[in-house]
Amino acid sequence: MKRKHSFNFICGCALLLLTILLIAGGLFLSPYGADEMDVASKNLAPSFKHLFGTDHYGRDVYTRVAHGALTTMLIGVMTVAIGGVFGTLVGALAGYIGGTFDAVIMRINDCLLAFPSILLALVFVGVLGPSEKNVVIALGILFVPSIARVVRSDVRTQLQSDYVVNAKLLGVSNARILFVHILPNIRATLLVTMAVGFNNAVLAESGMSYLGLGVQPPKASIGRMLSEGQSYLRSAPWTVLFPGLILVLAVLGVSLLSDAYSGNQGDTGSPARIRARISRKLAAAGYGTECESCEVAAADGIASADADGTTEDGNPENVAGATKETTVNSAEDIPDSAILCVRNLAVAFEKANGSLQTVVKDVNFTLHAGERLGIVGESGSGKSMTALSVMGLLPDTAGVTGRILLRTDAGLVDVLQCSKKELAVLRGDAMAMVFQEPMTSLNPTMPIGRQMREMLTHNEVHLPKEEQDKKLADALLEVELTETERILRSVPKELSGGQRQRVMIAIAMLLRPRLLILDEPTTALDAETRDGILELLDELQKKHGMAVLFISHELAVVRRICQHVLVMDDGHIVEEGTVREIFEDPKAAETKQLLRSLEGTDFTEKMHWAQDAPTILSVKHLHVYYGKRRGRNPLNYDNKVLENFEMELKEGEVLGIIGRSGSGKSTLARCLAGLIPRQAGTIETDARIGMVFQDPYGSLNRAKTVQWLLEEPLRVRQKKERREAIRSLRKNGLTGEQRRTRKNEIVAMYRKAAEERRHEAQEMLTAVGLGKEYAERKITELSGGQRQRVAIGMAILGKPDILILDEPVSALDATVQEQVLALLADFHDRFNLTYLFITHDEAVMKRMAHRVIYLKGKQDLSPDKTNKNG
Amino acid sequence: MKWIRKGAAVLIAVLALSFVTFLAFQVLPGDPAMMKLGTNATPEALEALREEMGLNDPMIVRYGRWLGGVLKGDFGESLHYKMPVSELLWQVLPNTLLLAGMSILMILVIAFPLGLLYARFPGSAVDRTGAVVNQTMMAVPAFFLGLVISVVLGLWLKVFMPGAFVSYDEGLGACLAYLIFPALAIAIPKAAMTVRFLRSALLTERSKDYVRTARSKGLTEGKVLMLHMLPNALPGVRTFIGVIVSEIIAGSIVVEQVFGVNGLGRLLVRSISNRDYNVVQAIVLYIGIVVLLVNSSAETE
Repeated sequence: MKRKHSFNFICGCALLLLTILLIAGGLFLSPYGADEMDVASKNLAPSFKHLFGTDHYGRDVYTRVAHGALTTMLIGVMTVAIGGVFGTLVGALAGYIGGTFDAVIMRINDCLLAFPSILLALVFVGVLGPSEKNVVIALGILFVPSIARVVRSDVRTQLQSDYVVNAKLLGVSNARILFVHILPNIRATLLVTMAVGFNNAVLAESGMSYLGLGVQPPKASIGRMLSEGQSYLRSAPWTVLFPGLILVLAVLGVSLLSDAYSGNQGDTGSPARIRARISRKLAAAGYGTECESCEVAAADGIASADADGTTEDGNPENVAGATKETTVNSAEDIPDSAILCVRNLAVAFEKANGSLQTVVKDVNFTLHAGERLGIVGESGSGKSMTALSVMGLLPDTAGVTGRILLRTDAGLVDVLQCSKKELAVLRGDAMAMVFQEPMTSLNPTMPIGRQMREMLTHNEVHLPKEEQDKKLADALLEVELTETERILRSVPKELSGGQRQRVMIAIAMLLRPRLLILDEPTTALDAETRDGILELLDELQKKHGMAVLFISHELAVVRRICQHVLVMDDGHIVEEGTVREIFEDPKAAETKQLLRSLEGTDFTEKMHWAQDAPTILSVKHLHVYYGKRRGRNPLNYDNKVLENFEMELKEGEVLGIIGRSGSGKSTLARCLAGLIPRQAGTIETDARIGMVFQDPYGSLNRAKTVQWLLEEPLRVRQKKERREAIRSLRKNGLTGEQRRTRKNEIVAMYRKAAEERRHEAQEMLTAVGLGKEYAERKITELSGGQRQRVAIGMAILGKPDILILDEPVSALDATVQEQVLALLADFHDRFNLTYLFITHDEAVMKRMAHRVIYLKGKQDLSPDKTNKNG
Repeated sequence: MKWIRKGAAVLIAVLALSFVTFLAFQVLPGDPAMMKLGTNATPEALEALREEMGLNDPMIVRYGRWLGGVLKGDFGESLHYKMPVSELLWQVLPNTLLLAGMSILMILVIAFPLGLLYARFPGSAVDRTGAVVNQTMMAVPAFFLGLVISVVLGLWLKVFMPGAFVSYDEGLGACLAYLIFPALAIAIPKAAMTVRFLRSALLTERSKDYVRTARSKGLTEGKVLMLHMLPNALPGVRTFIGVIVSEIIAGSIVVEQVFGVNGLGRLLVRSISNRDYNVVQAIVLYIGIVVLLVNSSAETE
């Protein structure tokens, strides 16, 4: 890792180095022996002759400390070694095998863990007799359960991730998955646990020696010295102080290092100061200053838009305000109708090397009362950051310059100049916000009722409780949630996604804010729910007339909701105008690109297949259930995900499976790939099945390089071939000559293997459109689209006949989506593939699939080509 | 229903624990009969005593008999002190419980205000200084801290007299006053760990979306911390404190020795040295049960 070393790292190293030097000095440089007594000079205070003084036998404390510390450290190291090896083995096996084995091992483990280890160690040593060896054995064994527990839970977490599923699919052996794929990923936790274990062992050993049950005299040990010195606390406190301090030094050093390793550092400075620093840099870079030309441009855009008069429900006030507006130079020129005026807004983060990453650059716009303004752009274009700056909710590490003027009851206020308290007053009643992910945006443990009520109680709304209750219920009714009683009592997880988003909207609308900011409010929802929410927002805006700032990457959504649109790219506003102007006559190249990816290329023609091709996969009467079985009937389960599912896949075909979340799409994919069991039904196929997952970050092993990942399917295949070759050598009555040739062949296979793998992997790297320079990169250093390319390459190197694509582009931006789809279309013919394309996105489906199956979820399906809205 | 199942699980665990404890002390080298009679006893006398003590019965019978005794509060007799183990325990147990209780109280009193303060102003000077102090305190072994407290507060400042422990039955007030110092030695390192855990648990919550929502509703920073972040961080902290409690019991074994507190830990150490296994067995069982109960009640779903 080439990064600046943290404070913790430097301090930890310094302390450990100091400890080691102290020990080495005492061992090699000290003129005294550890047990050398000199009664004449007993209990001498520290001096140049005796750095740490002498004890009651006249022994040099420094020399004894060094010897004692060495013993203690060695015991610590050996304990960690024993516990680490056995603990990792036990934990890894228990976690990987699971089932009864896991349950039994872990039950025993928990019992052992329940006891404080020093207690058991004491008893153990008490029984076997106090000695160094017994201390190490006792502490080592007692360390096994805590390592085992950590390793086991990590292994179990890793087993859930897609990259393990992916490896299984490629035919990697269990042992290899466990030791080569999983263990490197849990190295960090393992090291940290071992560091903690070392410290505990050191402390336990010194405690036991202090009690007389550890290291035995005359051997020096820290604990021993502390207990001997205790009788002379008054006359010679140094005999206790120095042994204790060296222990503190060592333990502190190790814990600082382990912190530095786990990235647990908080030494970046206070948020306010960071923000001020970045903001200053940003201003110095020329952002946030008045810029005449862009002001004019901004004003022009909006003025012409309104003059057009094409908006659906054009607010007369709005038009009047816009026509008045010519140039805006200062706050005084802002029209009365303006609710929000953003001027020269710039937002930046600091990169690791100290340079700025500017994510919003010179953004200017005005939002009038009752107007609906959309900001569109791909992720990373700066649209969400713009919205968050208006609310004053930017992350702590962001710097910001410019002006954000908000109309309040007290006149215009610059949000960026507000203190945290003043902001808190503005939020909720002057402006409110609805966020993208309604599940995580609501407090998971607080009942909805309390979360709604907070809007009233923290905003100076003084109402008696009954009236508050009434207001909350009314607010829920307004967003078409009728079971108000139940919903107010529920916590978020008891509601559906759509209900949760309605609740979010109800909260935001509770105090009738002048400005409502919606940050991708429908992105996390499926199509049907999305339509409902959009209709609701439309109605609410018409009824209450608040100004709406709508952030989205979905052009279709913006088209339905907004009157004006700003298109953002790389932090800039690249184009603005009315909805009609943007959609019918786009000027900027970025806008055109966005529109193109909205329409999308039709790839179905490009991927050839014959109607009369043979069937390569046929599924009959498939039942897949989750949860508990009810009663004895094998088909009676709590959660029936797939019931009586049937399908046929022809060679070369692209079959689309579409359905909303929870309809069993992913279950079907995993069942076909043989990853989860089925309760009934048959799956007939001779084809090899490969799979590409939705989230390439999870489906690729983060601990490995691109090259390694691409080689892995080949490695597996080579191993299998070699195994078969060797097996064929053993059987059959081969002549000596034949045997020798076979052996040579096998040796040659070994020799060629590495070269072959490297070559094939590099070819694939080029084929998926990544250069050779990506070979040695880790997955974490790639963008989402690049990761998905690697994932596709890896799947294809497994030489599948059928490739199951489980939402392969859903996590990607529109432009990148387009590229990845093109790549898939290209590979279809090139590698003679049959695709099973799973998605919730109908637009993508129409462009890819030859035939579509609509999954309704928990029910039967109706195989037909769906042609609903696009 | 949930509670019944949990209770049953704890009961089974306690039974298993008692069996393991019983078993562990059965395989020990050494013959209780010989210990009682001395090494020069005749084989006949030994055999007679073994029969009388029931040592020749099958193990499961002996376990049953032992368990029956334990349920009635009879842990057998201490071979060293020549008195019932339960009586011995009763003499020292309250001292240990007072010490543990006081330590836990101190941990809570120190850890919560500090943890909340650091999480309220992360990265500030207060937070950073606190982190350094915290790290150092975590590295200090409790018994060394006990020695330092003895020297500084006891010998130099003369706030208390190290070693002059008053047992609870001789004067509760004096006992509590003395226990403040060993409790401090136990509490400070553990409080440092708790502060650190609480702070990082709160900061984990701080980066979650719902905190942003709470801010967007107009809650002030302090209110967001207390009303939203703290309740969500609490279950994890509760489990952590459960673990801390079992560590306190372990810590008190050594610290009792440092301060001369006549408690369970001291009795345990002495009995181990005396090979007085009936006492050791009883103490191990007792501590095991306490830890089990604490952990299962602190456990979150």
